[in-house]
Amino acid sequence: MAAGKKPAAARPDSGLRVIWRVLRSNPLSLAGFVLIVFIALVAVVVTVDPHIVPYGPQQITGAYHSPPSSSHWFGTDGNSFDIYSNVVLALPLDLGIGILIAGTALIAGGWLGLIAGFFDRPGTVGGALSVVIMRVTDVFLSFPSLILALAITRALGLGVGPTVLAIGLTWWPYYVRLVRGEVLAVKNLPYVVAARASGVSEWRILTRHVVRNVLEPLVVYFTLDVGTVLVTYSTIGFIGVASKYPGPQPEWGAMLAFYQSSGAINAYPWEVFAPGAAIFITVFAFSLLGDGLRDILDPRTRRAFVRGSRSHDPPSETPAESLPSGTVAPSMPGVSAADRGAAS
Amino acid sequence: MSDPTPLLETEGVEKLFPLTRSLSDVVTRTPGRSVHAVDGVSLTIRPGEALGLIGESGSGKTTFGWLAARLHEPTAGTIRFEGADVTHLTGKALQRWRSNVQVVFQDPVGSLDPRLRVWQIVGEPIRAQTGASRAETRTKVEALLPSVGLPQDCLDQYPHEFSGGGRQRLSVARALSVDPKLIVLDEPTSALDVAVQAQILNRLVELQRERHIAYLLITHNVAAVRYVADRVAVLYLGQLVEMGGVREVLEHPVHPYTKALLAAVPIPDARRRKMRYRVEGDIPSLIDPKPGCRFAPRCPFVIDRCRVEDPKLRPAPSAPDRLVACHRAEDVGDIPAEALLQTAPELPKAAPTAAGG
Amino acid sequence: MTEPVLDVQHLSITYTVGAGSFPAVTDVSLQLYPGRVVGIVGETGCGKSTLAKAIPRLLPEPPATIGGGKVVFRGTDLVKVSKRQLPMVRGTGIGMIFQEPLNSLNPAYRVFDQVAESIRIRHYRDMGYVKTFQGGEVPFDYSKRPTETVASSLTKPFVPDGAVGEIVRDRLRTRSDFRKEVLEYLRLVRINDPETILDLFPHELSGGMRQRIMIAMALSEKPSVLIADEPTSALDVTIQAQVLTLMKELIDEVQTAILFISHDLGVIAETADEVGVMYAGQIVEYGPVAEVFHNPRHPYTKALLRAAPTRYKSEGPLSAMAGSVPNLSRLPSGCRFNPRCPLVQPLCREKMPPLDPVVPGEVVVGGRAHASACFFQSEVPNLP
Repeated sequence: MAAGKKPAAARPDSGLRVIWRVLRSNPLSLAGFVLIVFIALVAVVVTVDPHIVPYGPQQITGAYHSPPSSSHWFGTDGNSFDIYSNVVLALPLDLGIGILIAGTALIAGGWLGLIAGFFDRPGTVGGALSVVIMRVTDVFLSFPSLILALAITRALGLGVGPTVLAIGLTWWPYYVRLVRGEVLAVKNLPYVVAARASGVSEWRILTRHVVRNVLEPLVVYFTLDVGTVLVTYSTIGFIGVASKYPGPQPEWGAMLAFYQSSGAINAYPWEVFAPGAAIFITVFAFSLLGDGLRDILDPRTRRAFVRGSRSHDPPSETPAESLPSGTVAPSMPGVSAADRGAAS
Repeated sequence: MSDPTPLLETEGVEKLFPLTRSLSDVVTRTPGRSVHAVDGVSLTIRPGEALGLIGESGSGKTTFGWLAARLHEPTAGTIRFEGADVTHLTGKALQRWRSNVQVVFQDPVGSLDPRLRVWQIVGEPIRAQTGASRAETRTKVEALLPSVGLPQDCLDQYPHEFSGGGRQRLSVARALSVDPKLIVLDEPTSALDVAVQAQILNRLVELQRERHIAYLLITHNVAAVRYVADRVAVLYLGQLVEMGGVREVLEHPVHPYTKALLAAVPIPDARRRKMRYRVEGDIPSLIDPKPGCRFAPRCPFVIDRCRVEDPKLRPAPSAPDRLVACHRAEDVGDIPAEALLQTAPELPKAAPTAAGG
Repeated sequence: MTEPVLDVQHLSITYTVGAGSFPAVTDVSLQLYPGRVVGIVGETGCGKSTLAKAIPRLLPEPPATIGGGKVVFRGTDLVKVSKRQLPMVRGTGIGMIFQEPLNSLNPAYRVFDQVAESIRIRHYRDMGYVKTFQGGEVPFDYSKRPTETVASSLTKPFVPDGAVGEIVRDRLRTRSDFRKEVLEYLRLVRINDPETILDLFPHELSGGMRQRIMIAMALSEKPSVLIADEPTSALDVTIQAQVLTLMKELIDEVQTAILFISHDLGVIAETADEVGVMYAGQIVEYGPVAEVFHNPRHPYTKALLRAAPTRYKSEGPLSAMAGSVPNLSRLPSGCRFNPRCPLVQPLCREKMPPLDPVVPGEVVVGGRAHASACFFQSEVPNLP
């Protein structure tokens, strides 16, 4: 986010190259990145052309409870529907729901948290607003979100739309808490005071120092959270109030619920395995991506990775060497902070 | 103090931090208590002068520095800058005034935003004060870096790529960027090694000579004050105890606390091994302090009067341009600081002989 | 006196980070004797804290690896002790005092609980309930101490009575049974009104008080070696002077061997009998404090002593040392100080100077002779 925008045209280690270097030095993050790109691609392709999969969602194939084979990759179920087709067709919905809910919560909760954290001086309008925001947040947080979402779904009626709305309504308070906490931690750091002492306006401090430093944990949390939303939605689907399966629009949670309740888990384990694995892989990919993003977004680790992996490059571009006051002790990935302390 | 318009003048400046009242306090109507961080400090800084403010933690020296830079608003008293009252400036006027007074903070790691590059950090005051464009800011920063001893080609580096000394140079460069008249140096070298400390102190003195900037040097480090300051003020628990020319105060301290502070500074001299420091007791709490001299509980020269009556800051008996707040200044003024160190009595144990190994 | 309690021989420690590695400590030897204080002084990153943590094997391994050398403590080489046995080694008498007393005390427990816990553990160990590591043939004998003072009787181990009933009752002891002992230790570190202090939490104490508690805790384990890593650096000057005075008095009373680490030459002068000056992971000068500080024989020591600002600005600029501490992953060849040294000769860039005695013929290792790792040490006194 930071590196690409800078006018540092001459600097070789900005933008994509940095991302690539960080990813290259951390194979797990790379795997997460590749997986996410793959999942997103599949989702786009399926949305554009649903007939890319061999069978429709409710197409009778004639093979009942057939185990995975070359014609039915994930097998078929008791209705003779092809599980592979259903799992892939469910992807856009599940992914979309995850990103939509987490994204809405991020934007709504993020703003509220920012206001509640930055303008929390008692006795001001902002302070009063901050108190109101936090109390409302606390009310929402005091309910278990799943139960609350279920209750809202019940009140609004069954179906995808009401469920999304219900989860969305219960999801934003976590972002308020997270952002407010981060803002409170950042806003009294010495460099924020230093900016204030330089005569920088409060608005500029908010956008330049506070938002920028809150963004990183927020984005990382968001990527992890997409997975959590997915699991929650699937759980509600599993309980059977969100999506109906079998139906025109399959959904992983509902599939799991259907196969589980039809007793397939013992007799035909592949039926449960496929949607379960789909949920698992998607959530896992997002959490790997989250770790990778953390490294990419922090200039300290970013530089460290670049330094570490650049050791065989010509040593001409390490300007810190020329500082008269000396270079930093070798800054290397991972341990730098710890051993700096230890080596003192 | 003879100068008609001092650069910065504080008059009886106070800063109290109220403590949160608990529910039981409210119910029982216990009055709220507060921390008396700075308790009636009056001093002046002349243009181009370096004033050293020595004190230990809890002395209120950092709070005073923040008051002088108007990062805090005083609870009572007035702050005048070039004759104009700035005690209660707010908003845009305060932001514009800040180009006069800049601050260098103690923590060379924390006071630089880790996500910004050198030109953004050093150029921040320029952009805030003048609204300069990126290119202009970069040019100005580039021109500024050599004056603090940094190479010009580090504009696009991040702060973590610098050593502690390098980071503190960045802080100094940031403070210099808008040509302030006063720089508040809040423990600028206490996080640095001795060798680096000497480099920074030399640089600060040079800059002061070149640019005729006034410094308010806040530190617990007597050595740094000795080298940088022209005058020195000693602060103990929010109150001034002694003020005067740096050489006079450090070589002939009048106030018992100044003596205690100077005697406590460890110096690389092997004879110190046998010395015992004879000041006892802890630094008392700043919450609603009791009347009387604040150093009385630890003072080796304490008399009954010290415990009941606040000593006023008055001209020292020996030198009229020095101020001291001690009832017994006449009696104890001539006792050297070293008197607070005593040689340890020889212990009966057999000293290990050098041939033992 | 002839046998060192702790004998560090040619200890080298390397940090391995990713593909690279750098030597944090190179070939350090020193001996600790009861009742004597060895000071280690050096700048940030010189390896002094690494050394302090490596001796009781407190360094995380990896990234650190002990590349070579021995740490002989009461006849056992701690370098060779397996990881599983390490907790026992640490319990047997190497105490540590760290810089930041607030982080080293558990904020959730009262002073009493913290001190009592360390007494209780030590007590159990002495009674044989907790396994200790009794390696080697030379068990350290506390009774060899020269004089019996109040403090030395406190640091004597428990002598078990042997009666079965006593052991059973002992097993049932809780922290609260150690009240008397805790009070004794608090008085030992000159805490006025210890009865009140007992019931306070660490955050209710001042920094100096917390450091006194830390010292009391370290002593209550009856260590035969005490490693103090910048114990007063976080304190105010006058409080530091008070704590240093306390430590000086305790050094004379307790007769423990002490390794005292500080970046402050003045603090070392206050406490140490001998001093080792570290630079880039090596001891470059070693000897009695009076010798090293008043007649330095290594250009680095000399520069360090001169860098301490002791002049007014009217008297000209401070003598700042040229250059900077070298990057440990890219050390210069030969003497590590050569890029900054005013005496540098071609020889210095080729060979690493050995730690040679200032007076030829004196025993350096195991002795207390003044030694310097500089080829041209005789020219150092002529430096400005």
